[in-house]
Amino acid sequence: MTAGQAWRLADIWYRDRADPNWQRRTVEEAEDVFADLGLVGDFWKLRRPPTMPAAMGMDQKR
Amino acid sequence: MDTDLVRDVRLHVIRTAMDTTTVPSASETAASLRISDQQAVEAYRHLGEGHVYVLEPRDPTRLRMANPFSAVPTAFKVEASGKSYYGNCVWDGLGIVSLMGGTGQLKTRCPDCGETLTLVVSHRALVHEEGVVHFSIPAAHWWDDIIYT
Repeated sequence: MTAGQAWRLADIWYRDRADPNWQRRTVEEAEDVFADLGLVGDFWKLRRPPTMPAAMGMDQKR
Repeated sequence: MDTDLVRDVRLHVIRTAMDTTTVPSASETAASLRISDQQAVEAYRHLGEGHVYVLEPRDPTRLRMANPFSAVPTAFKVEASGKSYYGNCVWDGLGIVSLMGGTGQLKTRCPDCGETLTLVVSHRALVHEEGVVHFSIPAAHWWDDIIYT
């Protein structure tokens, strides 16, 4: 990311950290922050993609 | 766990870090808040599990990270409000500047050539926007080992 994006991310992320009402962002809220800053794509997704299902006929004895 | 107690511990930790540049231990927090050491350790554990702070490996009575502050010296030194702090990374270092009012500077070194890099922020605006910040770990894996990240 650019230095400008890093600053804007840090400012959004930590500006209110000392507020008694601060709550940790949900995964969705965090990804929205990234997207609003132009940080898009799989690299910025906090949720891991589902793994391939095991039973696709490849692991069974023939 | 009592959510009000966890909130009070969270706030005590971050306000202490802001005011003194040091991150309090569980026993120091317990003494300040007049709670038991066990309650403070339990609150630290809860905050660690919630990815709000990071416990010191192998010592549940201490924090390694009171995000955005580092409890130990790092390569990310911040000057803000007349004090010096350490951030855990560029993101956290700039986060300290934001938390301390939006004016300050972060100094670090390029891991490739060793050149000193300085990011100056004035009244919540980055003075010079040149440069890039490199993340080597995808977001989904940041917390696999947050100290390494």
